[in-house]
Amino acid sequence: MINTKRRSNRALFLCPIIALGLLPLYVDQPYIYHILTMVFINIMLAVSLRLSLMTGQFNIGHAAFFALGAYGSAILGIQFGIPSGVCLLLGGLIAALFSLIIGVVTLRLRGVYFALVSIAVVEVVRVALSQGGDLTGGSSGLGNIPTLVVFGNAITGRDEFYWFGFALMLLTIYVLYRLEIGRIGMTWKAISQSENMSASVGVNIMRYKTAAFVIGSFFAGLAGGLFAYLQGFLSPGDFGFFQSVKILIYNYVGGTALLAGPIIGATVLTLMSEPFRGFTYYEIIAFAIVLIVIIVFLPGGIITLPQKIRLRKKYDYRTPY
Amino acid sequence: MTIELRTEGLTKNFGALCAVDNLDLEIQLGELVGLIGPNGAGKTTVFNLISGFLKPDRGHVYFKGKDITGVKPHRLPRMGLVRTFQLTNNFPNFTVMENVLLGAHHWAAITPRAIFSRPPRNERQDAMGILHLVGLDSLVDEMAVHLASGQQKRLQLAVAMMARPELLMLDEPLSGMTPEEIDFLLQSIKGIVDKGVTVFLIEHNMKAVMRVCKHIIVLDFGVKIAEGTPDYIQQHPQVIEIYLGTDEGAHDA
Repeated sequence: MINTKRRSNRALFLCPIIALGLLPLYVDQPYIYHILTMVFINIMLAVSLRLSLMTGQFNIGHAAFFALGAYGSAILGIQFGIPSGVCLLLGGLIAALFSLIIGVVTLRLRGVYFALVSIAVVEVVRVALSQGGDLTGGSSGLGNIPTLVVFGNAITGRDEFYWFGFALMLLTIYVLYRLEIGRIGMTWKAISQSENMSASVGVNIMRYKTAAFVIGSFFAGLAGGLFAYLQGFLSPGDFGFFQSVKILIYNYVGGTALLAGPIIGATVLTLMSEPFRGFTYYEIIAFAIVLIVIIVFLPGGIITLPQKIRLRKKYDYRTPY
Repeated sequence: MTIELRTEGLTKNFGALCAVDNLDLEIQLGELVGLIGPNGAGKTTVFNLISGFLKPDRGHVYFKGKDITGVKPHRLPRMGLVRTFQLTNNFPNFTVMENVLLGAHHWAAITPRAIFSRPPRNERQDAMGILHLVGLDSLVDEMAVHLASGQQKRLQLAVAMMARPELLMLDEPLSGMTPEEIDFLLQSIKGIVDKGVTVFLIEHNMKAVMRVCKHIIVLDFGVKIAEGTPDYIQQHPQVIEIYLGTDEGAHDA
Protein backbone atom coordinates (compact mmCIF):
# COMPACT_ATOMS: atom_id res chain seq x y z
CA MET A 1 0.00 0.00 0.00
CA ILE A 2 2.61 2.46 1.15
CA ASN A 3 4.93 1.16 -1.52
CA THR A 4 2.55 1.79 -4.42
CA LYS A 5 1.83 5.25 -3.08
CA ARG A 6 5.50 6.03 -2.93
CA ARG A 7 5.99 4.67 -6.45
CA SER A 8 3.20 6.78 -7.88
CA ASN A 9 4.62 9.82 -6.12
CA ARG A 10 7.98 9.13 -7.66
CA ALA A 11 6.37 8.89 -11.10
CA LEU A 12 4.68 12.22 -10.42
CA PHE A 13 8.11 13.80 -10.00
CA LEU A 14 9.97 11.92 -12.70
CA CYS A 15 7.53 12.49 -15.59
CA PRO A 16 7.90 16.27 -15.80
CA ILE A 17 11.66 15.98 -15.27
CA ILE A 18 12.06 13.58 -18.18
CA ALA A 19 9.67 15.59 -20.36
CA LEU A 20 11.52 18.83 -19.68
CA GLY A 21 14.89 17.18 -20.15
CA LEU A 22 13.96 15.79 -23.57
CA LEU A 23 12.22 18.95 -24.76
CA PRO A 24 15.18 20.42 -26.72
CA LEU A 25 15.28 17.28 -28.89
CA TYR A 26 11.78 17.92 -30.18
CA VAL A 27 11.14 21.65 -30.01
CA ASP A 28 13.25 24.23 -31.80
CA GLN A 29 12.10 27.56 -30.41
CA PRO A 30 14.84 29.65 -28.74
CA TYR A 31 12.19 31.93 -27.27
CA ILE A 32 10.60 29.05 -25.35
CA TYR A 33 13.99 28.03 -23.97
CA HIS A 34 14.68 31.54 -22.83
CA ILE A 35 11.41 31.70 -20.91
CA LEU A 36 11.86 28.26 -19.42
CA THR A 37 15.40 29.10 -18.31
CA MET A 38 13.95 32.15 -16.57
CA VAL A 39 11.45 29.80 -14.92
CA PHE A 40 14.37 27.69 -13.66
CA ILE A 41 16.16 30.74 -12.29
CA ASN A 42 13.03 31.90 -10.52
CA ILE A 43 12.45 28.44 -9.07
CA MET A 44 16.00 28.51 -7.68
CA LEU A 45 15.28 31.89 -6.11
CA ALA A 46 11.94 30.76 -4.68
CA VAL A 47 13.18 27.52 -3.13
CA SER A 48 16.26 29.20 -1.69
CA LEU A 49 14.16 31.91 -0.05
CA ARG A 50 12.12 29.11 1.49
CA LEU A 51 14.99 28.43 3.90
CA SER A 52 14.64 31.87 5.45
CA LEU A 53 10.88 31.51 5.67
CA MET A 54 11.30 28.07 7.23
CA THR A 55 13.22 29.53 10.17
CA GLY A 56 10.53 32.18 10.60
CA GLN A 57 12.51 35.10 9.14
CA PHE A 58 10.37 37.15 6.75
CA ASN A 59 13.15 37.99 4.32
CA ILE A 60 12.32 40.74 1.80
CA GLY A 61 15.97 41.14 0.84
CA HIS A 62 16.54 38.00 -1.18
CA ALA A 63 17.07 39.92 -4.45
CA ALA A 64 20.18 41.48 -2.89
CA PHE A 65 21.91 38.10 -2.90
CA PHE A 66 20.61 37.38 -6.39
CA ALA A 67 22.20 40.69 -7.44
CA LEU A 68 25.49 39.96 -5.69
CA GLY A 69 25.75 36.59 -7.40
CA ALA A 70 24.98 38.12 -10.80
CA TYR A 71 27.27 41.14 -10.54
CA GLY A 72 29.90 39.20 -8.61
CA SER A 73 30.34 36.53 -11.26
CA ALA A 74 30.13 39.05 -14.12
CA ILE A 75 32.68 41.45 -12.63
CA LEU A 76 35.13 38.69 -11.71
CA GLY A 77 34.98 37.53 -15.32
CA ILE A 78 35.35 40.99 -16.84
CA GLN A 79 37.98 42.44 -14.50
CA PHE A 80 40.12 39.44 -13.69
CA GLY A 81 39.48 37.09 -16.56
CA ILE A 82 38.60 34.24 -14.23
CA PRO A 83 37.02 31.31 -16.15
CA SER A 84 33.29 31.80 -16.22
CA GLY A 85 32.41 28.41 -14.76
CA VAL A 86 34.46 29.27 -11.69
CA CYS A 87 32.90 32.76 -11.62
CA LEU A 88 29.46 31.22 -11.42
CA LEU A 89 30.46 29.33 -8.28
CA LEU A 90 32.30 32.34 -6.85
CA GLY A 91 29.16 34.44 -7.39
CA GLY A 92 27.29 32.07 -5.11
CA LEU A 93 30.08 32.23 -2.55
CA ILE A 94 30.17 36.03 -2.63
CA ALA A 95 26.43 36.12 -1.95
CA ALA A 96 26.90 33.59 0.86
CA LEU A 97 29.74 35.54 2.45
CA PHE A 98 27.82 38.80 2.27
CA SER A 99 24.75 37.14 3.78
CA LEU A 100 26.88 35.75 6.61
CA ILE A 101 27.97 39.29 7.53
CA ILE A 102 24.43 40.65 7.22
CA GLY A 103 22.94 37.64 8.99
CA VAL A 104 25.16 37.75 12.07
CA VAL A 105 24.07 41.34 12.62
CA THR A 106 20.39 41.20 11.67
CA LEU A 107 19.08 37.70 12.39
CA ARG A 108 18.63 38.55 16.05
CA LEU A 109 15.73 40.68 14.90
CA ARG A 110 12.38 38.98 14.58
CA GLY A 111 9.17 39.52 12.67
CA VAL A 112 8.59 42.93 11.20
CA TYR A 113 11.93 44.33 12.41
CA PHE A 114 13.89 41.81 10.40
CA ALA A 115 11.61 42.38 7.41
CA LEU A 116 12.30 46.13 7.52
CA VAL A 117 16.06 45.67 7.74
CA SER A 118 15.98 43.21 4.84
CA ILE A 119 14.25 45.84 2.68
CA ALA A 120 17.08 48.20 3.57
CA VAL A 121 19.63 45.56 2.52
CA VAL A 122 18.14 45.09 -0.93
CA GLU A 123 17.88 48.83 -1.51
CA VAL A 124 21.43 49.51 -0.35
CA VAL A 125 22.74 46.85 -2.72
CA ARG A 126 20.70 48.21 -5.62
CA VAL A 127 21.87 51.78 -5.01
CA ALA A 128 25.47 50.67 -4.56
CA LEU A 129 25.32 48.83 -7.90
CA SER A 130 23.88 51.84 -9.69
CA GLN A 131 26.59 54.11 -8.23
CA GLY A 132 29.46 51.69 -8.81
CA GLY A 133 31.05 53.61 -11.71
CA ASP A 134 32.89 51.58 -14.33
CA LEU A 135 33.08 48.53 -12.09
CA THR A 136 29.33 47.87 -12.08
CA GLY A 137 28.44 49.95 -15.11
CA GLY A 138 26.31 52.25 -12.95
CA SER A 139 22.63 52.74 -13.64
CA SER A 140 23.12 52.25 -17.38
CA GLY A 141 24.03 48.63 -16.72
CA LEU A 142 26.87 46.20 -17.15
CA GLY A 143 27.53 44.63 -20.55
CA ASN A 144 30.32 42.60 -22.15
CA ILE A 145 29.73 39.67 -19.87
CA PRO A 146 31.86 36.77 -21.13
CA THR A 147 30.35 33.57 -22.49
CA LEU A 148 29.67 30.85 -19.99
CA VAL A 149 32.11 27.97 -20.35
CA VAL A 150 31.53 24.85 -18.29
CA PHE A 151 34.16 22.09 -18.35
CA GLY A 152 35.47 23.39 -21.65
CA ASN A 153 32.07 23.57 -23.34
CA ALA A 154 30.91 27.04 -24.34
CA ILE A 155 27.26 27.49 -23.52
CA THR A 156 25.92 29.84 -26.13
CA GLY A 157 22.70 28.53 -27.66
CA ARG A 158 19.40 28.97 -25.84
CA ASP A 159 18.88 25.21 -25.75
CA GLU A 160 22.29 24.68 -24.16
CA PHE A 161 21.46 27.29 -21.57
CA TYR A 162 18.18 25.54 -21.02
CA TRP A 163 19.89 22.24 -20.27
CA PHE A 164 22.48 23.79 -18.03
CA GLY A 165 19.89 25.82 -16.11
CA PHE A 166 17.70 22.78 -15.80
CA ALA A 167 20.55 20.76 -14.32
CA LEU A 168 21.50 23.52 -11.92
CA MET A 169 17.88 23.90 -10.80
CA LEU A 170 17.48 20.15 -10.24
CA LEU A 171 20.67 20.13 -8.20
CA THR A 172 19.42 23.05 -6.11
CA ILE A 173 16.05 21.45 -5.50
CA TYR A 174 17.63 18.12 -4.64
CA VAL A 175 20.08 19.57 -2.12
CA LEU A 176 17.41 21.72 -0.48
CA TYR A 177 14.95 18.83 -0.41
CA ARG A 178 17.43 16.57 1.34
CA LEU A 179 18.29 19.35 3.78
CA GLU A 180 14.62 19.91 4.50
CA ILE A 181 13.78 16.29 5.33
CA GLY A 182 16.96 15.79 7.36
CA ARG A 183 17.68 16.78 10.90
CA ILE A 184 18.72 20.32 10.00
CA GLY A 185 15.48 20.98 8.15
CA MET A 186 13.47 19.64 11.05
CA THR A 187 15.34 21.96 13.35
CA TRP A 188 14.76 24.96 11.06
CA LYS A 189 11.04 24.30 11.07
CA ALA A 190 11.09 23.80 14.83
CA ILE A 191 12.68 27.21 15.38
CA SER A 192 9.86 28.95 13.52
CA GLN A 193 7.30 27.15 15.68
CA SER A 194 8.79 27.81 19.08
CA GLU A 195 12.17 29.36 19.81
CA ASN A 196 11.87 28.62 23.52
CA MET A 197 11.14 24.94 23.01
CA SER A 198 13.98 24.73 20.49
CA ALA A 199 16.45 26.30 22.89
CA SER A 200 15.30 23.99 25.68
CA VAL A 201 16.30 20.91 23.67
CA GLY A 202 19.67 22.45 22.88
CA VAL A 203 19.21 24.21 19.54
CA ASN A 204 21.62 27.09 18.98
CA ILE A 205 19.03 29.28 17.33
CA MET A 206 21.35 31.94 15.92
CA ARG A 207 23.60 29.33 14.35
CA TYR A 208 20.71 27.54 12.65
CA LYS A 209 19.08 30.74 11.44
CA THR A 210 22.38 31.95 10.04
CA ALA A 211 23.01 28.63 8.31
CA ALA A 212 19.59 28.76 6.64
CA PHE A 213 20.16 32.36 5.57
CA VAL A 214 23.64 31.70 4.17
CA ILE A 215 22.73 28.50 2.32
CA GLY A 216 19.66 30.19 0.83
CA SER A 217 21.77 33.15 -0.26
CA PHE A 218 24.36 30.88 -1.83
CA PHE A 219 21.75 29.36 -4.14
CA ALA A 220 20.30 32.79 -4.86
CA GLY A 221 23.80 33.89 -5.86
CA LEU A 222 24.14 30.84 -8.10
CA ALA A 223 20.84 31.78 -9.75
CA GLY A 224 22.25 35.31 -10.15
CA GLY A 225 25.31 34.04 -11.98
CA LEU A 226 23.15 31.98 -14.30
CA PHE A 227 20.99 35.04 -14.93
CA ALA A 228 24.05 37.17 -15.75
CA TYR A 229 25.31 34.73 -18.38
CA LEU A 230 21.85 34.15 -19.80
CA GLN A 231 21.13 37.85 -20.27
CA GLY A 232 24.67 38.96 -21.12
CA PHE A 233 23.70 42.30 -19.63
CA LEU A 234 22.83 43.40 -16.08
CA SER A 235 20.99 46.45 -14.85
CA PRO A 236 20.43 47.42 -11.19
CA GLY A 237 16.72 47.75 -11.97
CA ASP A 238 16.44 43.97 -12.24
CA PHE A 239 17.32 43.53 -8.57
CA GLY A 240 15.15 46.00 -6.71
CA PHE A 241 12.54 45.72 -4.03
CA PHE A 242 9.94 44.42 -6.49
CA GLN A 243 12.18 41.51 -7.44
CA SER A 244 12.42 40.57 -3.75
CA VAL A 245 8.68 40.77 -3.33
CA LYS A 246 8.17 38.63 -6.41
CA ILE A 247 10.29 35.86 -4.88
CA LEU A 248 8.18 36.04 -1.74
CA ILE A 249 4.97 35.92 -3.77
CA TYR A 250 6.18 32.79 -5.59
CA ASN A 251 6.32 31.12 -2.18
CA TYR A 252 2.96 32.27 -0.93
CA VAL A 253 1.06 31.73 -4.18
CA GLY A 254 2.50 28.24 -4.56
CA GLY A 255 2.08 27.38 -0.89
CA THR A 256 4.53 27.26 1.97
CA ALA A 257 3.68 23.84 3.39
CA LEU A 258 5.66 21.79 0.89
CA LEU A 259 8.79 22.31 -1.16
CA ALA A 260 6.58 21.86 -4.23
CA GLY A 261 4.89 25.16 -3.33
CA PRO A 262 7.61 27.61 -4.39
CA ILE A 263 8.37 25.46 -7.45
CA ILE A 264 4.78 25.63 -8.66
CA GLY A 265 4.40 29.28 -7.67
CA ALA A 266 7.54 30.37 -9.52
CA THR A 267 6.55 28.39 -12.62
CA VAL A 268 3.00 29.70 -12.82
CA LEU A 269 3.86 33.31 -12.09
CA THR A 270 6.89 33.49 -14.37
CA LEU A 271 4.86 32.15 -17.29
CA MET A 272 2.02 34.49 -16.39
CA SER A 273 4.19 37.58 -16.27
CA GLU A 274 5.82 36.91 -19.64
CA PRO A 275 3.28 38.96 -21.67
CA PHE A 276 3.96 41.89 -19.34
CA ARG A 277 7.69 42.03 -20.07
CA GLY A 278 8.62 45.69 -20.36
CA PHE A 279 5.38 46.85 -18.73
CA THR A 280 6.43 46.70 -15.11
CA TYR A 281 3.37 48.47 -13.73
CA TYR A 282 0.98 46.04 -15.36
CA GLU A 283 3.12 43.21 -14.05
CA ILE A 284 2.84 44.52 -10.51
CA ILE A 285 -0.92 44.77 -10.90
CA ALA A 286 -1.12 41.22 -12.23
CA PHE A 287 0.97 39.90 -9.33
CA ALA A 288 -1.19 41.76 -6.85
CA ILE A 289 -4.39 40.36 -8.31
CA VAL A 290 -3.08 36.80 -8.26
CA LEU A 291 -1.87 37.19 -4.70
CA ILE A 292 -5.21 38.53 -3.50
CA VAL A 293 -7.16 35.80 -5.29
CA ILE A 294 -4.94 33.13 -3.76
CA ILE A 295 -5.12 34.57 -0.25
CA VAL A 296 -8.91 34.75 -0.40
CA PHE A 297 -9.72 31.46 -2.13
CA LEU A 298 -6.69 29.24 -1.50
CA PRO A 299 -4.93 30.48 1.63
CA GLY A 300 -2.63 27.44 1.60
CA GLY A 301 -1.46 28.22 -1.95
CA ILE A 302 -1.85 26.35 -5.21
CA ILE A 303 -0.62 23.11 -3.63
CA THR A 304 -3.87 22.90 -1.65
CA LEU A 305 -5.95 23.02 -4.85
CA PRO A 306 -6.33 19.21 -5.21
CA GLN A 307 -7.74 19.08 -1.70
CA LYS A 308 -10.03 22.02 -2.43
CA ILE A 309 -11.59 20.33 -5.43
CA ARG A 310 -11.70 16.99 -3.63
CA LEU A 311 -9.44 15.09 -5.97
CA ARG A 312 -7.58 13.96 -2.97
CA LYS A 313 -8.61 12.75 0.42
CA LYS A 314 -8.29 15.34 3.12
CA TYR A 315 -4.65 15.74 3.86
CA ASP A 316 -3.19 17.76 6.65
CA TYR A 317 -1.14 20.36 4.83
CA ARG A 318 1.19 21.57 7.46
CA THR A 319 2.30 25.12 7.51
CA PRO A 320 5.85 24.92 8.78
CA TYR A 321 5.84 28.67 9.30
CA MET B 1 25.04 12.51 48.87
CA THR B 2 26.23 14.65 45.99
CA ILE B 3 24.68 17.98 45.26
CA GLU B 4 23.24 18.11 41.74
CA LEU B 5 22.04 21.69 41.70
CA ARG B 6 22.80 24.58 43.99
CA THR B 7 21.92 28.25 43.88
CA GLU B 8 23.65 30.85 45.97
CA GLY B 9 22.10 34.23 46.76
CA LEU B 10 20.03 34.15 43.56
CA THR B 11 18.31 37.53 43.09
CA LYS B 12 16.17 38.94 40.28
CA ASN B 13 14.32 42.24 40.19
CA PHE B 14 11.75 43.27 37.61
CA GLY B 15 11.78 47.04 38.02
CA ALA B 16 10.77 47.72 41.62
CA LEU B 17 9.42 44.20 42.09
CA CYS B 18 11.77 41.72 43.68
CA ALA B 19 10.78 38.43 42.00
CA VAL B 20 13.46 36.26 43.57
CA ASP B 21 15.27 37.44 46.69
CA ASN B 22 18.61 36.03 47.78
CA LEU B 23 17.58 32.42 47.22
CA ASP B 24 19.73 29.49 48.31
CA LEU B 25 18.68 26.08 47.05
CA GLU B 26 20.22 22.64 47.14
CA ILE B 27 19.03 19.62 45.24
CA GLN B 28 20.63 16.25 45.89
CA LEU B 29 21.39 13.77 43.15
CA GLY B 30 18.51 11.40 42.44
CA GLU B 31 15.94 13.33 44.46
CA LEU B 32 12.42 14.36 43.49
CA VAL B 33 12.02 17.90 44.77
CA GLY B 34 8.87 20.03 44.60
CA LEU B 35 8.82 23.81 44.45
CA ILE B 36 5.51 25.23 45.63
CA GLY B 37 4.10 28.62 46.50
CA PRO B 38 1.16 30.89 45.71
CA ASN B 39 0.71 32.57 42.33
CA GLY B 40 3.37 35.18 41.71
CA ALA B 41 5.74 33.71 44.29
CA GLY B 42 8.52 33.62 41.69
CA LYS B 43 8.64 29.88 41.02
CA THR B 44 8.85 30.11 37.23
CA THR B 45 11.35 32.96 37.56
CA VAL B 46 13.58 30.62 39.58
CA PHE B 47 13.33 28.07 36.75
CA ASN B 48 14.13 30.72 34.16
CA LEU B 49 17.16 31.88 36.16
CA ILE B 50 18.51 28.35 36.54
CA SER B 51 17.92 27.38 32.90
CA GLY B 52 19.49 30.54 31.49
CA PHE B 53 16.35 32.10 30.03
CA LEU B 54 16.82 34.99 32.48
CA LYS B 55 20.05 36.43 33.83
CA PRO B 56 20.15 36.90 37.60
CA ASP B 57 20.95 40.34 39.00
CA ARG B 58 23.03 38.71 41.72
CA GLY B 59 23.95 35.23 42.80
CA HIS B 60 25.16 32.03 41.19
CA VAL B 61 23.82 28.74 39.91
CA TYR B 62 25.97 25.62 40.18
CA PHE B 63 25.11 22.45 38.31
CA LYS B 64 27.18 19.37 39.13
CA GLY B 65 29.64 21.70 40.85
CA LYS B 66 30.07 23.88 37.76
CA ASP B 67 29.07 27.54 37.68
CA ILE B 68 26.38 27.82 34.99
CA THR B 69 25.25 31.35 35.82
CA GLY B 70 24.52 33.18 32.57
CA VAL B 71 25.17 30.16 30.36
CA LYS B 72 22.95 30.30 27.26
CA PRO B 73 19.85 28.05 27.50
CA HIS B 74 20.76 25.96 24.46
CA ARG B 75 24.04 24.82 26.02
CA LEU B 76 22.45 23.29 29.10
CA PRO B 77 20.81 20.15 27.61
CA ARG B 78 24.25 18.93 26.53
CA MET B 79 25.42 19.35 30.13
CA GLY B 80 22.43 17.33 31.33
CA LEU B 81 19.95 19.98 32.42
CA VAL B 82 16.59 20.00 30.61
CA ARG B 83 13.52 22.04 31.46
CA THR B 84 9.89 22.20 30.33
CA PHE B 85 7.50 25.14 30.13
CA GLN B 86 4.29 25.95 31.91
CA LEU B 87 2.40 27.06 28.81
CA THR B 88 3.28 25.44 25.54
CA ASN B 89 1.80 23.48 22.72
CA ASN B 90 5.21 22.07 21.87
CA PHE B 91 5.97 22.26 18.14
CA PRO B 92 2.35 22.58 17.01
CA ASN B 93 2.83 21.73 13.33
CA PHE B 94 4.91 18.65 13.94
CA THR B 95 3.56 15.19 14.67
CA VAL B 96 3.97 13.72 18.13
CA MET B 97 6.83 11.57 16.84
CA GLU B 98 8.63 14.51 15.25
CA ASN B 99 8.29 16.50 18.46
CA VAL B 100 9.99 13.76 20.44
CA LEU B 101 12.68 13.29 17.79
CA LEU B 102 13.63 16.95 18.22
CA GLY B 103 14.45 16.15 21.81
CA ALA B 104 17.41 14.18 20.45
CA HIS B 105 18.88 17.37 18.99
CA HIS B 106 21.93 17.70 21.19
CA TRP B 107 23.06 14.08 21.14
CA ALA B 108 22.00 12.95 17.66
CA ALA B 109 24.99 12.22 15.47
CA ILE B 110 25.82 14.95 12.98
CA THR B 111 26.99 12.87 10.05
CA PRO B 112 26.31 13.75 6.41
CA ARG B 113 23.69 11.01 6.54
CA ALA B 114 21.95 12.61 9.50
CA ILE B 115 22.01 16.00 7.80
CA PHE B 116 20.49 14.81 4.55
CA SER B 117 18.16 11.99 5.66
CA ARG B 118 15.26 11.34 7.97
CA PRO B 119 16.16 10.49 11.60
CA PRO B 120 17.55 6.95 11.91
CA ARG B 121 15.73 3.95 13.30
CA ASN B 122 17.46 3.88 16.68
CA GLU B 123 16.28 7.42 17.44
CA ARG B 124 12.75 6.46 16.44
CA GLN B 125 12.89 3.42 18.71
CA ASP B 126 14.07 5.56 21.63
CA ALA B 127 11.26 7.97 20.91
CA MET B 128 8.71 5.15 20.80
CA GLY B 129 9.87 3.89 24.19
CA ILE B 130 9.51 7.32 25.74
CA LEU B 131 6.08 7.85 24.17
CA HIS B 132 5.04 4.55 25.68
CA LEU B 133 6.26 5.77 29.06
CA VAL B 134 4.02 8.86 28.93
CA GLY B 135 1.13 7.00 27.31
CA LEU B 136 1.11 8.72 23.94
CA ASP B 137 2.20 5.74 21.86
CA SER B 138 -1.20 5.53 20.17
CA LEU B 139 -0.92 9.11 18.89
CA VAL B 140 2.51 9.09 17.20
CA ASP B 141 1.28 10.51 13.89
CA GLU B 142 -1.11 13.04 15.35
CA MET B 143 -0.23 16.70 14.92
CA ALA B 144 0.73 18.24 18.26
CA VAL B 145 -1.68 21.13 17.68
CA HIS B 146 -4.60 18.68 17.83
CA LEU B 147 -3.71 17.31 21.28
CA ALA B 148 -5.68 18.10 24.42
CA SER B 149 -3.94 20.14 27.08
CA GLY B 150 -3.11 17.15 29.26
CA GLN B 151 -1.65 15.35 26.26
CA GLN B 152 0.41 18.46 25.42
CA LYS B 153 1.93 18.30 28.89
CA ARG B 154 2.74 14.63 28.51
CA LEU B 155 4.25 15.26 25.09
CA GLN B 156 6.44 17.95 26.57
CA LEU B 157 7.66 15.55 29.19
CA ALA B 158 8.46 13.07 26.41
CA VAL B 159 10.42 15.69 24.45
CA ALA B 160 12.40 16.55 27.58
CA MET B 161 13.09 12.88 28.32
CA MET B 162 14.36 12.39 24.77
CA ALA B 163 17.02 14.98 25.57
CA ARG B 164 18.43 12.48 28.11
CA PRO B 165 18.43 14.74 31.16
CA GLU B 166 20.34 14.21 34.38
CA LEU B 167 18.33 16.98 36.00
CA LEU B 168 14.80 17.40 34.70
CA MET B 169 13.00 20.62 35.62
CA LEU B 170 9.23 20.41 35.11
CA ASP B 171 7.13 23.57 35.23
CA GLU B 172 3.61 22.53 36.32
CA PRO B 173 3.58 19.18 34.53
CA LEU B 174 0.14 18.28 35.90
CA SER B 175 -1.88 21.36 35.00
CA GLY B 176 -4.84 20.79 32.71
CA MET B 177 -4.99 17.06 33.43
CA THR B 178 -7.78 14.76 34.48
CA PRO B 179 -7.35 12.83 37.78
CA GLU B 180 -6.67 9.63 35.82
CA GLU B 181 -3.99 11.37 33.78
CA ILE B 182 -2.44 12.75 36.97
CA ASP B 183 -2.22 9.28 38.50
CA PHE B 184 -0.66 7.94 35.33
CA LEU B 185 1.84 10.79 34.99
CA LEU B 186 2.90 10.63 38.63
CA GLN B 187 3.76 6.97 38.03
CA SER B 188 5.76 8.01 34.93
CA ILE B 189 7.64 10.66 36.90
CA LYS B 190 8.40 8.15 39.66
CA GLY B 191 9.69 5.81 36.96
CA ILE B 192 11.95 8.56 35.66
CA VAL B 193 13.36 9.16 39.14
CA ASP B 194 13.93 5.44 39.56
CA LYS B 195 16.08 5.52 36.44
CA GLY B 196 18.39 7.90 38.29
CA VAL B 197 17.19 11.23 36.91
CA THR B 198 16.95 14.05 39.42
CA VAL B 199 13.58 15.81 39.08
CA PHE B 200 12.80 19.33 40.22
CA LEU B 201 9.18 20.30 39.68
CA ILE B 202 6.86 23.25 40.17
CA GLU B 203 3.31 22.20 40.88
CA HIS B 204 0.06 23.72 42.02
CA ASN B 205 -1.63 20.43 42.73
CA MET B 206 -0.74 20.18 46.44
CA LYS B 207 -2.08 16.68 46.90
CA ALA B 208 0.09 15.36 44.08
CA VAL B 209 3.20 17.12 45.37
CA MET B 210 2.69 15.76 48.87
CA ARG B 211 2.24 12.30 47.42
CA VAL B 212 5.39 12.04 45.33
CA CYS B 213 7.97 14.53 46.59
CA LYS B 214 10.24 13.57 49.46
CA HIS B 215 11.51 17.10 49.69
CA ILE B 216 9.51 20.31 49.24
CA ILE B 217 10.60 23.93 49.00
CA VAL B 218 8.04 26.69 49.64
CA LEU B 219 8.46 30.09 48.03
CA ASP B 220 6.54 33.29 48.80
CA PHE B 221 7.32 36.70 47.32
CA GLY B 222 10.62 35.36 46.04
CA VAL B 223 11.76 34.23 49.50
CA LYS B 224 12.19 30.64 50.63
CA ILE B 225 9.99 30.36 53.72
CA ALA B 226 10.15 26.64 54.39
CA GLU B 227 11.85 23.48 53.24
CA GLY B 228 11.52 19.87 54.27
CA THR B 229 9.48 16.69 54.11
CA PRO B 230 5.78 16.79 53.16
CA ASP B 231 4.76 16.22 56.80
CA TYR B 232 6.96 19.05 58.02
CA ILE B 233 5.63 21.42 55.32
CA GLN B 234 2.01 20.58 56.14
CA GLN B 235 2.61 21.51 59.79
CA HIS B 236 4.64 24.64 59.09
CA PRO B 237 2.74 27.68 60.46
CA GLN B 238 3.97 30.10 57.79
CA VAL B 239 2.98 27.73 54.98
CA ILE B 240 -0.47 27.27 56.48
CA GLU B 241 -0.70 31.03 56.75
CA ILE B 242 0.06 31.76 53.11
CA TYR B 243 -2.18 29.00 51.82
CA LEU B 244 -5.14 29.44 54.17
CA GLY B 245 -4.69 33.08 55.18
CA THR B 246 -4.51 34.46 58.72
CA ASP B 247 -7.37 35.46 60.97
CA GLU B 248 -6.54 39.08 60.28
CA GLY B 249 -6.77 38.49 56.55
CA ALA B 250 -10.13 36.79 57.02
CA HIS B 251 -11.44 39.83 58.89
CA ASP B 252 -10.22 42.21 56.20
CA ALA B 253 -11.99 40.20 53.56
